[in-house]
Amino acid sequence: MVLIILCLITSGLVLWTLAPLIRDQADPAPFLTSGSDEEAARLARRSQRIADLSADRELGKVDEREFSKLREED
Amino acid sequence: MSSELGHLTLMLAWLFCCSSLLLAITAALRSSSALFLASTRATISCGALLLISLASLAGAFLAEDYTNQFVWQFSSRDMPWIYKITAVWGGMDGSMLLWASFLGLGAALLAIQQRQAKSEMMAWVIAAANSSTFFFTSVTLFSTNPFRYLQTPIVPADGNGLNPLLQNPYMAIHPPMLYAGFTLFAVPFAFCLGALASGNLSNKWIMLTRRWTLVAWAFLTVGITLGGHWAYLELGWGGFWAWDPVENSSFLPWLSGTAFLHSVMIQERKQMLRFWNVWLIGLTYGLTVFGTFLTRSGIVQSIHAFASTDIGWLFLTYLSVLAVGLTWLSYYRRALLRSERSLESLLSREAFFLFNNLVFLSICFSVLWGVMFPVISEAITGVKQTIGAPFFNAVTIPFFLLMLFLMGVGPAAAWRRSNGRRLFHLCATPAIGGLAIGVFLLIIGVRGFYPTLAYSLSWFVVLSVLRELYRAVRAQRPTHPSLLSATTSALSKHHRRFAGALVHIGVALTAVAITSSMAHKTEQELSLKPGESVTIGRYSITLRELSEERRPNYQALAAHLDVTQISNKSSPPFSLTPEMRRYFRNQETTSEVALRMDWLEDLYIVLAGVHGDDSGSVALKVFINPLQVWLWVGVLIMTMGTLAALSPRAMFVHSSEV
Repeated sequence: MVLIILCLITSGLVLWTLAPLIRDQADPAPFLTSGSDEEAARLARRSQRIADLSADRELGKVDEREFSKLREED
Repeated sequence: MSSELGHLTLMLAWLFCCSSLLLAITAALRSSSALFLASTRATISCGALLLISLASLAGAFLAEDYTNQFVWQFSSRDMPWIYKITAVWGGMDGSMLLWASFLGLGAALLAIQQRQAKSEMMAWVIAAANSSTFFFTSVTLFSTNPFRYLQTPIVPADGNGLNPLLQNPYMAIHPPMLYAGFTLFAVPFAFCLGALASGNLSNKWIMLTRRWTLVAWAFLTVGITLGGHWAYLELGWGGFWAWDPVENSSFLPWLSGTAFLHSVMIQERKQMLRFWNVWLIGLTYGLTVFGTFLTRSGIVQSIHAFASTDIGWLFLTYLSVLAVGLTWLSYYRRALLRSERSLESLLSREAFFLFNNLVFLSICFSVLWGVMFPVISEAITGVKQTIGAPFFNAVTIPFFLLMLFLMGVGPAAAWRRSNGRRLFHLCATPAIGGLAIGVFLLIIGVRGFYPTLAYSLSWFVVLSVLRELYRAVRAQRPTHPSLLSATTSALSKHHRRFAGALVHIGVALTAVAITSSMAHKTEQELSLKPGESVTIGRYSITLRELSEERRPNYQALAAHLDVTQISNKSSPPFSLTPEMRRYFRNQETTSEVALRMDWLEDLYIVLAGVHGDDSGSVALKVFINPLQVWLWVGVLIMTMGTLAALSPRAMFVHSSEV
């Protein structure tokens, strides 16, 4: 009984795994992307830098003069 | 039946793992979404089958299936059910299956999380995660299979039983927590390999792995601490950490993992240390495998080590392949691993993070040297020289103190560069507070340079955190008139910062507890006859009687002690009962510690033996460990801080959202 259940589960898992490949034959899926978006990453980094600088000002780690200078350099 | 099911599912899991590995590599090479999706499904199937296999082994233990060699070797009918479960990881074969299952589970969670990502990098990540599972599943299936039959014509009526030292509730939870920490570090490492293979070495992999790393770190921290607590309760020497090679092998990845947790913040914000981070996570994962090699190869002597086996060379080969692969990939991608920026000032947050990394790695390599020295010395001179706690304490304590100092100063520094005068001003109040504590302790009679410095620096760290909180709350006051709402707003605005600060408070508390329990411990060996009393510290201890009792799987000899506190007459007397146990199955004798935990100190009593004369006197070892309980509280706070750093969506942030 246990063996039968195991066979059924395994068959189900094999079919489930292969389903995307079978479907791909009929309707090809899009290609994988390179996954990198340099411009978005650059903007994210810039906003992170500004957030860090503002937090440092708020916590008294940089004064107004230093803040303006670092902000300008950014 | 359970064993057969476990064996079959283990074989199927191995097949799914091979398929998933091949599918993921092909998906990455052909940029095929369909192949990628199929690989994620095979990964999930592999994880599920490995869990069924593990559950089947536990089922075989509960069903007392002594046709299974592993079950027969590590359990017996008289063991309580919880220790039958514990026996799953009580021997090497089962612990390898546990490891493979956790790796499979981690890879499956990763596949579920990233199944919609459909990027080339993720295909390589899935392939890398599966390669770890593949190695451990292969070792389990072909070399340390826990489902082998016992080679005897008749089925034994009972099993060998589990080592009595492992029959402790902590053993039910400590190894799974530790292994969860080890195996979860495989996920950030897989991301690292995926990023290297795909050439997508922006911050994406760092952002995606942050929470995985935090969870792995939390598991490892709790796992190591539970191991320390087990040693404290079970080994009866009054301590929790003996710098044993196996303890050290779990501590090594913790050190490099902690360094990695800090250094990724610099890459995240400053696009620096890319090369460093790749190697740091490689080192962390490598050290988890190295720890397994140490415990399984039999090259080091330890109370924790498994019997010497022939799988050490497999791990050594795997480690070599990892090292060569990582070296080649990082050389191939060297142009992409260059930092975008350089360090602007030594008085900046990033510089302090870098110092912190150097301190952690210095401790890591000192400990590694201490672990490997006996092996190296034996290889060169033919004589095995052992290195004990004095070496590790002498080498690591100064580094730990430096780490405390950096924990106090570092958070006060601004990103990019700090004004020296401003940094000094910010650190002045906590430093004066720390100094005041040091002077106060000297006045009340606390002696020792290192202990006093450790207390001062710990207090300095706590005050630094409070100063940071005070400034954050003050900044919120104009918009939040009530103190409570200003504090809530500050904590929520700087959520990650204060979660880290909570971890730092936990570390400071742990440092105080460790220092106190090591430097101010009282230890005394004594003999008592029934009715006799002795005074130690603030306790008067009387031996009321000795008794013998037969329990399900052992015979217990118990010393019933009545304890009163001399300094505090109003405090009610209490009883402690240290025991010696003789287990029927393997005729081993163990000591069961009697422990009274208090916020100020632990009273820890071990029944060392019974004198052979007819007086009925017993030998006792009494330890008084000041502030010991704060070590466990400190680690609890560290864990809470780590959990606070995770948002509710911790493990399931999709790559496209980053």
